[in-house]
Amino acid sequence: MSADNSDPERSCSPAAPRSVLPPEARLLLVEDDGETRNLVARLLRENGMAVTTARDGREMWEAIQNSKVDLILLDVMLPGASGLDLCRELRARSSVPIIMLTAKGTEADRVVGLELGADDYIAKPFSRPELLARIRAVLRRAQAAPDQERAIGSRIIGFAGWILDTSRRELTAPDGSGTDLSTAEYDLLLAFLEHPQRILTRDQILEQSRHRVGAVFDRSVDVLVSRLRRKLEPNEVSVTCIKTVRGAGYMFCVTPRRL
Amino acid sequence: MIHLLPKGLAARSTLVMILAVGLVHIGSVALYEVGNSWAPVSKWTQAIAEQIVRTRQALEQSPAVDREAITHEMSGGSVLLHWTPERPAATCIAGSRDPYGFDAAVKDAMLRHGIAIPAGTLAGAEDKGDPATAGCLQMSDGSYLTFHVSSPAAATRGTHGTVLSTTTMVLGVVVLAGLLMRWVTAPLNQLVLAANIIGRTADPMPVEEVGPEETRNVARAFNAMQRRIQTLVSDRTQALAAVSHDLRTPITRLRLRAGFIDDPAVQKQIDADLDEMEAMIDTTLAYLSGSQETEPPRLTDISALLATLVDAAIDAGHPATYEGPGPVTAMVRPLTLKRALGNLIQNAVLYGGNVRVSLRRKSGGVAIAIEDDGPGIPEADLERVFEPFQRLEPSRNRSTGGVGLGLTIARQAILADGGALQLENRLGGGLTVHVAMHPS
Repeated sequence: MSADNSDPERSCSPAAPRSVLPPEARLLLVEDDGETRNLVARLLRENGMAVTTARDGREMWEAIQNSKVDLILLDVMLPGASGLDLCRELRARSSVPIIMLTAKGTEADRVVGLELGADDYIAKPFSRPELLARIRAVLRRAQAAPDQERAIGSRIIGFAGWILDTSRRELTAPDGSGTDLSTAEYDLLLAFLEHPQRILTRDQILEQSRHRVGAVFDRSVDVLVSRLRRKLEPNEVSVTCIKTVRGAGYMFCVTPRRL
Repeated sequence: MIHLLPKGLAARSTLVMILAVGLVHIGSVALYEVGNSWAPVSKWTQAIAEQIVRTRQALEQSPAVDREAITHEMSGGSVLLHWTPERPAATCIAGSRDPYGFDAAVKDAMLRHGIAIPAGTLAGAEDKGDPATAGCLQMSDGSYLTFHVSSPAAATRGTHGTVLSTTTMVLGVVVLAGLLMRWVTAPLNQLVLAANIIGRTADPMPVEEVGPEETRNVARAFNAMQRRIQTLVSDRTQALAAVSHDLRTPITRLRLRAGFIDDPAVQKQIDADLDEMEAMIDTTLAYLSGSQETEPPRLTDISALLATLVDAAIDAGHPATYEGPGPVTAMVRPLTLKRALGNLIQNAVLYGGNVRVSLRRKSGGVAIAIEDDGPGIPEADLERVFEPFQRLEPSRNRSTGGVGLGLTIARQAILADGGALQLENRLGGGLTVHVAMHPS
């Protein structure tokens, strides 16, 4: 049912490490609303994932002890210890990837969650393809990147005077002004920052995208790159960040630093 | 006639006071004048009659040769006396006008002094017209004593000074009263200010409970009313926000459930319905939380923001263009402004089509224009469209109409950042939304 085109098996990148997902990713879903829990679990199972469920923090800790978990889907609004508390405790013990499930519009929860070390967040009500795409992207990133790179403290990236705060998803221009990015542009920029000085093919760019799914994104990698370029290189004096490599793809030619 | 009256309460009260004090003043001056010309006049008449009768007695005992000299000596004040051996026809006319009652007064004085009044002795007083009164008395030997009295008005002429001083005092009282009335009505002006602010800002503005009893009561009642209105509004806002928020849980479930429907067409329709419900909840919540928005302002590239919004419209399959210089920054709340501009572009897409967004640097800041080729908005409705839950065509399908909060939220947000929002029907057709933001 998924319109997701970023299936890892399609990857044939020589530059990026090849993703090797286990045959069945093991997910732990922590959600107190019974109906939602059952429906999400069913959706994930139908899409080839092994799902364990927990109603609250206590059940979550039990589940973690009993079996190995590749990713935790953690609701913020939980009875007893809140999802944010659990996220903090989890991070103190392990680097297991965490996706927070927040209520839409609660910006504070999202930022706090990411600052506490969650890998991503998804706002309820979410669409099915979006949920699946996020889960796959986080799993892929967790396998591609060593644990320490996802650790707290490496969430602010600087390049050519720009600053990208990945916990707030905020890009700040060299003059200090906030520069708005669409979700797709943000994901593209992040892909470039994680693979600097390397040629990324259109397919790889698609694969690296964590969020966008569907036809629009698929056919318009070039459009997307040009949009991002317009924001990063608004005039002639701007530093060139993205180079077009004819016949191959694109290259991010600035070396980013973790701040 | 009415329009000549002053409009303010203080001015009208002062006018009433001027009229009242003026009437009292005129009345008392008149009374004073009348009293002066009657009560003191009778005493004045008696005194002069006494003087005249004494002179007559003195003349009776004096030889004729001395009489003229005596009358001259006895004359004085307002009285002029003469002695004539013959009857003076000019002054002794019986039955002539006698406004001060000299006839009776002189006769009374003669009786008091035990003088018999021979028949025809006193011919009467003659009025020669103001200011003089004249008359004659017959002596026992048949000669005559005549008198001329100047009017008492001449004696009381000094009262004009009194009139002047009282008038000055009245003017002083009026000026003071005017100032006092202004002081008394000042709390009312404050009340008007507060009443005008209600509903425009989130915070109520309590009125100071000062001034006279009645004004204090009005202020107290007004403050109580303000509190009641606020409680009412916040209760309802909270209820609406809670319902909107809670709706997200069933929507989440429905979204997931729709994934298990085999018919992809039905699945797609349900998803579209849910998108719409979500959008309605989002805008309602955005509107309700608009006044409590806590997002901090920061320097933001407006150009990048508009580019994202226009790109999103293009991705959704709408004809839209964006034109603007490189980074154009302003101090705004980025998420709030993005929602506002997003609403405006969305409106242009839905009602107009063929959207052109442009950005210019202006001396006073940033000017954004969002043009569409739609039918525009009737001039009469240009203000109404900003009211919450107002939709121009009630019959319009909701899928294009939304809940009627887009423009309300947009204006709320833009005004809060110190900007301005204006709608303009273009001459050739189509609507232009002008947004102006301050310089960074």
